[in-house]
Amino acid sequence: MDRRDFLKKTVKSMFIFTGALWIPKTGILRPSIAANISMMGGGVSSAPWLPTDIAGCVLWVPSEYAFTDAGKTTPCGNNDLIYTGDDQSDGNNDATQATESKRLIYLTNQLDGYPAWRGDGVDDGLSCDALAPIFSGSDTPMTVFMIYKIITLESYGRFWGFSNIGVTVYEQFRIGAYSYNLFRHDGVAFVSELGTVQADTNWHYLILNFTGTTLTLRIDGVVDIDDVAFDVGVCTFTTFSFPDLGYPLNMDHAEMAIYNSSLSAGDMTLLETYATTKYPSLP
Amino acid sequence: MKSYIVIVIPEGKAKDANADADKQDSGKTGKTFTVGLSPTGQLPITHRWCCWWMDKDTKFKEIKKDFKGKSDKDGDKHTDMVFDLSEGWTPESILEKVKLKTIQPEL
Repeated sequence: MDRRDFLKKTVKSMFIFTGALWIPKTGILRPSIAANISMMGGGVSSAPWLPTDIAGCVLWVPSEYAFTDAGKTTPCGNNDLIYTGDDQSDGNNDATQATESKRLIYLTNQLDGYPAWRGDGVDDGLSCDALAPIFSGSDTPMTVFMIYKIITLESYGRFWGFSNIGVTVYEQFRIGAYSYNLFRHDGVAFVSELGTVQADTNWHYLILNFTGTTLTLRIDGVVDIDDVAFDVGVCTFTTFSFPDLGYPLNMDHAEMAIYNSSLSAGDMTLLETYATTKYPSLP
Repeated sequence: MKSYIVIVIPEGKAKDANADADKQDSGKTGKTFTVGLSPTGQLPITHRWCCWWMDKDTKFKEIKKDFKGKSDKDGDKHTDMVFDLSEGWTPESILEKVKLKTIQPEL
């Protein structure tokens, strides 16, 4: 075996070729670096591009990182209940669910060979309350990136929700499957925005980008809500869950990332490229 | 074999039902029944329900001892309703059967 064949075999054993890029288990090569790599023997190794490469990532849970216990000692197998979604952002914001009946199910081989987490739409959801306070305030920017599939259409269930449970005047920031309704409430003012009606049970990806005063929603790389004013007074969030434990959604989840900042158009494009490269079946 | 088991209980039995659920819940959080239902879909909550993915041959048999109220030797221990989704039930058909609705959000 000559050097060229050896390197070819080595690369093939570590990466999957998608037609455009070699993809490690999670992530894609940085486009700028990948462009300089010779696929047939350049021998250049590179860290894959990941959602955590964008500044401000405080949560990233691809579905491969699920455990049946709080201590993250037992990785989930098919049909196992998920106790912990292991945060890969290094922020240690693991998503957890201690109550068995509320745990999502881990299902193997759901999207291009990758697993998914399924919520039953009755009472399932993972909590990550440590994240909730970072979005409190009046003009606090945030971005959510999600790869998902809705199973039951025309549901009032919601993909996720920031809220303040137990207060007389509720405070919420949620996105739901029913026409992608988004609303924010600070107890005084209430704003909402409706996007496209969800019409299928296929896999999709979305980016919700909130600047603090305006909101943009991109679905499958297409702008659905375009920089609309979306501002109320001071909100104090204490809980965060996905699907929203207040209004659970029957859905599959492949990945979620959250940023404590508003992303640039370029960063959003990178996320979308990451999604469609890792999961070629996505639209 | 695993299946989704849906259990509906009256609001007044929630505390006892959560305690009984904890006998089978490794988390023992006392929070199995937190999602509210009512005949109108508006507050106040009259019932609560849960949907639990469990093994039918082991855990479900134990759960039924406490949650099949009318067949329990104590009579209507929880006056509850237990449904196995592998038998064709869906959450929607269960709500229709028991004439209850989930508490609707503002939008």
